[in-house]
Amino acid sequence: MASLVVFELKKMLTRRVAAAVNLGVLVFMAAIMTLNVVQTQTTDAQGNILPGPDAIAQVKENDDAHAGTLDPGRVASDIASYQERLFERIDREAVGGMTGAAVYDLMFEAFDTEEVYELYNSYWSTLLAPWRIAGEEPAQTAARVTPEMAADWYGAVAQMTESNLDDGQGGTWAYSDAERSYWTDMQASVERPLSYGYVGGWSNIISCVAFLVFAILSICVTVAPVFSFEYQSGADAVVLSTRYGRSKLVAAKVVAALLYATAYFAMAAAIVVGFSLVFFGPDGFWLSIQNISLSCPYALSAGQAALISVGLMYLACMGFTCLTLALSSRTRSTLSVFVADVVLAFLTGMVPSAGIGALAHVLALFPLGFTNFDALFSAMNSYPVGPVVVDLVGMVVAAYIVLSVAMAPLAAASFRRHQVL
Amino acid sequence: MELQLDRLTRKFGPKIAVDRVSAALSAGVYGLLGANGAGKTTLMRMICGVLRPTGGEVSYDGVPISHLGDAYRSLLGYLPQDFGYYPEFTALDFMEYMAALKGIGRHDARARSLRLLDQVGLAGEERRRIRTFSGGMRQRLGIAQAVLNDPEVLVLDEPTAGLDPKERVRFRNLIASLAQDKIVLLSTHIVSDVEYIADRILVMRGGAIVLSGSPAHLVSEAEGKVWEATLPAREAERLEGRLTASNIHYLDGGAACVRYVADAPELAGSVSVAPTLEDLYLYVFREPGPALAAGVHFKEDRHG
Repeated sequence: MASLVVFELKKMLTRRVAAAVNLGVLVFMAAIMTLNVVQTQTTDAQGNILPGPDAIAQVKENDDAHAGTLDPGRVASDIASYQERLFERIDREAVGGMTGAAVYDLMFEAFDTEEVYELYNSYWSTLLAPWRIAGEEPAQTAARVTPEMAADWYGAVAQMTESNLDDGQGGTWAYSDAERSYWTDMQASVERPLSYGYVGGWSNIISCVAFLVFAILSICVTVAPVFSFEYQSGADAVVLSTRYGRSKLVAAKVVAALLYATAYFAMAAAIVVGFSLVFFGPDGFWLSIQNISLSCPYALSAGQAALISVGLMYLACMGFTCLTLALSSRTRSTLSVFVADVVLAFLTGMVPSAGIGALAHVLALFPLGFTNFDALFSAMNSYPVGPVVVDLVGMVVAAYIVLSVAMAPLAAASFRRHQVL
Repeated sequence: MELQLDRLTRKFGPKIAVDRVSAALSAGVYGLLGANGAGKTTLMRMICGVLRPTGGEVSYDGVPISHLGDAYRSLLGYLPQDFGYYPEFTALDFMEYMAALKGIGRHDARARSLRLLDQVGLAGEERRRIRTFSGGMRQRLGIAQAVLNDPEVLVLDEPTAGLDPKERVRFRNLIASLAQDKIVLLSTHIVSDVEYIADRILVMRGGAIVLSGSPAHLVSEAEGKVWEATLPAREAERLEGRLTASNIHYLDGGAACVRYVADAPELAGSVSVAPTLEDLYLYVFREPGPALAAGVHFKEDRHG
């Protein structure tokens, strides 16, 4: 069996197209991740635009400057001091009636550049996030926050979840009572007080995990001929007439495909994770996911969320590998197998949901649907299955496990029953 | 050791590719002769278990091969027509892969593979990729893999396709040397491939075995049906399309000696000559009508 697995791996990996695509995709991913680092930009205290590693260092420095536990007292006090600094020089009443652009200009008139950039630090945005209205400048939000509101910052954070549930994903999804209670309970389980700090590396992994779809497609290119090439080349007659042609060979093909897919996915994931952690830093693994988005109802750390993102992509990879094997076992055409993979892995990410909540929930299950922070951890995508509520993470896990468990035996059975016509 | 075919039938939609073929094959070399489309390949695929019959069954020593499964396949060696290969594999890779599929241990696999590659004339080519092989070399590699497990049942579908005359002779000798204590079924539409090595010949037409017997016995079936006549060369060319001519030999002086098969002489001055297997083949497969009638006649004679 082991030697058959080795031969199957050799068959897969020595095909010129597969070798070229495998290598090409890894190089491409390394290039994308390099660009991801190089194109990171921020401004320093003097308003100068910093690129690449300098920008990353600046963001880290900004976050580190405010790192610490966000106990209610500190939050209320920090908001109060922020308001004091702001409204010492600009009119608190007036900013409420101004446009965002006008407030932005006003900030530069009232403060030194260095001060403006400090006042725009993401720490303040985080503190003001529970009351922020889309398109609003921090000063406008701060103008509306009373000391009583600031004192109940964690209540306001919890209210964000309620507001999002009421909003029903922009009116496209009506949450059932079970779903509301599921998300409310989850939000309540988030450990308090939160700790603020830099989580750039883990956040970047979540942002870039979608690039792993290229690795999945590369795996599909390599795996697509596993069965179909036997039919196409006429080798099926030879192998199926051998002692293990309808037994161990089938298992060896499936095992080899899964081993290869795992190894290749690990290499691709290592590029995404490696670049992120080397350039953005591994700091903040245990800091809460709310450092990335305060409205996230999950009781997870940023590091755990990053690992879950990669893990879900691995499950999708296994699902697609098994699906590809099943398609390969049913057709002589390697191209048609690959086209089916491309449609499912890529094109589903481009299909608009047209405001149809159910369709959006289905599309969210495809790799390009769930590989963004908002869909996975913040948008509260849930699937009521009878009385049980399953979130997107659980549904993706279930969907790809079911796909793998159903498709691998289907592939094996199809090849075992194959008739050489 | 006996392979039984019991009313073996295969239909593809309305078309009957193999029609209730029954035969019992014991150790020896069987030549399966038939024109393209006669059903040889379909019959062989069913014998090898890679194609399910729509009727009847194949049994080995009394047990249906569908029940024997892996046990039957471990006794089987098969070279399909146009056998597929893996372009990036070397000859040795391919042999060792087939050895693994046939359940041969790794150490044995290497030794047997090298010995067989040597036997089929591929010594020194073990490390060459198969995609660089000529058609003849690939065919020899196919033969080597077929006998890798020292099979009791060896099925070779058009094994001489792509071989040059020298290789064909070499192949015949190879089969003869490998055939001892085996059931060897060898299909071809080239009579000379089996004439010298087959113990028994099965002739297929329209999906049925219409003739079977030893070469000598079959040849005797064509006694009195092979004729030779000498006539002007121009006349011979004109008649070529009408006669089932096995040979036209042009002589000096504008004459030609025509050898043809027919139930009765069709040319003036025809003399009956000793038939060969090729004459018989032509007689069975001559077009139109009469040959089929003859086929049915033989079938009825031999298979009731």
